[in-house]
Amino acid sequence: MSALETVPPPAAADGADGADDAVLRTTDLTVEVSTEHGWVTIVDGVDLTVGRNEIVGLVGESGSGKTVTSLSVMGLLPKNARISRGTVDVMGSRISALKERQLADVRGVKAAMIFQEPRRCLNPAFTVGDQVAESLRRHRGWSRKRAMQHTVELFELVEIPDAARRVRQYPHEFSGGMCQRVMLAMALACDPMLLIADEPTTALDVTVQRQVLELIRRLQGELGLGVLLITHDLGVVAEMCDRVAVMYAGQVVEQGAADALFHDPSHPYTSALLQSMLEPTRRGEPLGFIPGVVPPPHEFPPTCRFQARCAHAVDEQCRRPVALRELSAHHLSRCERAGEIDLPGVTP
Amino acid sequence: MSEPTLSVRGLTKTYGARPTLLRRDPHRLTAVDEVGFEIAPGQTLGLVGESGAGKSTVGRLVLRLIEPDAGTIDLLGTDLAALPRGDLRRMRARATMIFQDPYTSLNPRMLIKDAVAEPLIMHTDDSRRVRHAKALDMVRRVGLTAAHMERYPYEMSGGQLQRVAIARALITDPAFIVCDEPVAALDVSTQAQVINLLNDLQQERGISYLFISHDLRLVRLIADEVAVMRRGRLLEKGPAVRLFDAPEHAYTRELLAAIPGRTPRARRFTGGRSEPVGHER
Repeated sequence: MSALETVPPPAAADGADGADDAVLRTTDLTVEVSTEHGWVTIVDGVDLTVGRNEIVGLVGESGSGKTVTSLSVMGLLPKNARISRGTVDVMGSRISALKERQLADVRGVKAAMIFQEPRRCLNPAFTVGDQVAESLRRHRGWSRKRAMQHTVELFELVEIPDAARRVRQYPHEFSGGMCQRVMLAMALACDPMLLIADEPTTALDVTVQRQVLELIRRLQGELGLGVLLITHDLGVVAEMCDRVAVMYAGQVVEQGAADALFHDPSHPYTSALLQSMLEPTRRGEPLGFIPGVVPPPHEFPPTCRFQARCAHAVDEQCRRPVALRELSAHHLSRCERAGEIDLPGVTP
Repeated sequence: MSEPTLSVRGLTKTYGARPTLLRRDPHRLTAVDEVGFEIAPGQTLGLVGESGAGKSTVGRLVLRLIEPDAGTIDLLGTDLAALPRGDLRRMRARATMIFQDPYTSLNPRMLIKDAVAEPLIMHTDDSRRVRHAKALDMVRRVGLTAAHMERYPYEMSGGQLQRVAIARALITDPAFIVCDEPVAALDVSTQAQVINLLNDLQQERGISYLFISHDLRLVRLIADEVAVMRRGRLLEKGPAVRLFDAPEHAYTRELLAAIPGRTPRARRFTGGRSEPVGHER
């Protein structure tokens, strides 16, 4: 079955309550990492759902746990990290319970991932075509010739011009944007239903970024993929995502539909991120920013974790752990004061 | 209008084989091609373009960190391009640079206080005590504390380190700073702090910036004038407001159109392409 022969895109899933349509579901996902301070929790109780045919954004500063979350979904956690609690299901497979050998059968077939620096993900010593075909030969047992034929089709799918010639070239002959297209072809080779894109355009020029984002959106629509898009650029989120989860210090602090979250945020962290978002305005007005940094995992406080940097923190309410609670349908916030404080978003 | 801080004319840099007796015209790449601009005191020129456009090469050429093949660089009334190498060092106090990645631009084995004070060894006769007193003032000015002075770079965050890099660039009281992608390696939440700091310092000290960035949103925030580069050439130059609101060059319009918006929009992709390419179906 080729990438385009897949079933026609299903009707848009209502990912928030997702039920059976979920291609990805993490439940209480908790990840620990071994450090000089012992085993430290770096991702704490993350419930995340990605439905078919939707793009979910995962945002937050460096150190918030976005990438670790995505790596645990792919079973790619480094040796010094482990899932200590919770489950990860991808298309009905319980990833979190699989052994490394079994994981290899799932990766690429059910879920695939692309990364920030595509060139670093490609082996400079092999042609790009060989590297894409490898996945088809491994998972489908295809001959070199058949796999290569299909690779040419995949290159056409990701809009690499002159595909038949380009498959025989090496990574150094490709620009950054073209390398990311090769990575996409590789990711989609075995028709996965979940695509994880970890900062896929951060290293690219703005014009190339636009092309790659549009390509991801087109493929997502045509193939009915569920996409988990990890980025720190809220502009990219605004352009791409249906729903957004905001992470801070290992926890999801707000989750909801993109429109609701941008226009009417209900966690001070989301609001502060939106205020620090670069926008084409006049110069002269100081930009909003968030004082301080994300605490290191061994110093995550037992209180509200954002409390120390929060402009709205008050002693009583914010000095205890805060649970994620539903404010309205599918809109979750981990702020005790949500509802009683007025948080600015972006104006339409 | 007062004399410009920096005035550059016909700046050119080519790379590749030199012409020889047998090959008079070897293949050469023109990285920077007849670039010219001026920056007035206390003003910022934003230099934008895609990777490989030659932005960073221009940034290095105007400080003569690399040697230009042709052109004049008039910095504070001195033609830098014609200056003997030995006299360059004197100018380095007045024109400094902030680099993209503070993790690699700061010596990992040097304490912050030494990194910030180091330029004073070169440019002043200050005693060690005076140097450290000046370094502390500067570290405080960029929003850090005395405790940070005793740290090594690995003990600090990217935003803090970029403040250190700014303190180091400022300590010799320069009139001109080249900022080469100064916040590209930072989180959005911290980018703003560094940009605000650069703006404040400019107002306080009347420094001129050459601000190199691929992010037009940033350039719009900080630049008075903007120059757009592509393939070594300046395509368009003008006041930021004019250039962003009414770009003349098609390429500038393309760059502006590619900036991600800031509000969620109807984004569900509905249509396919005109026809599927090369598939059996």
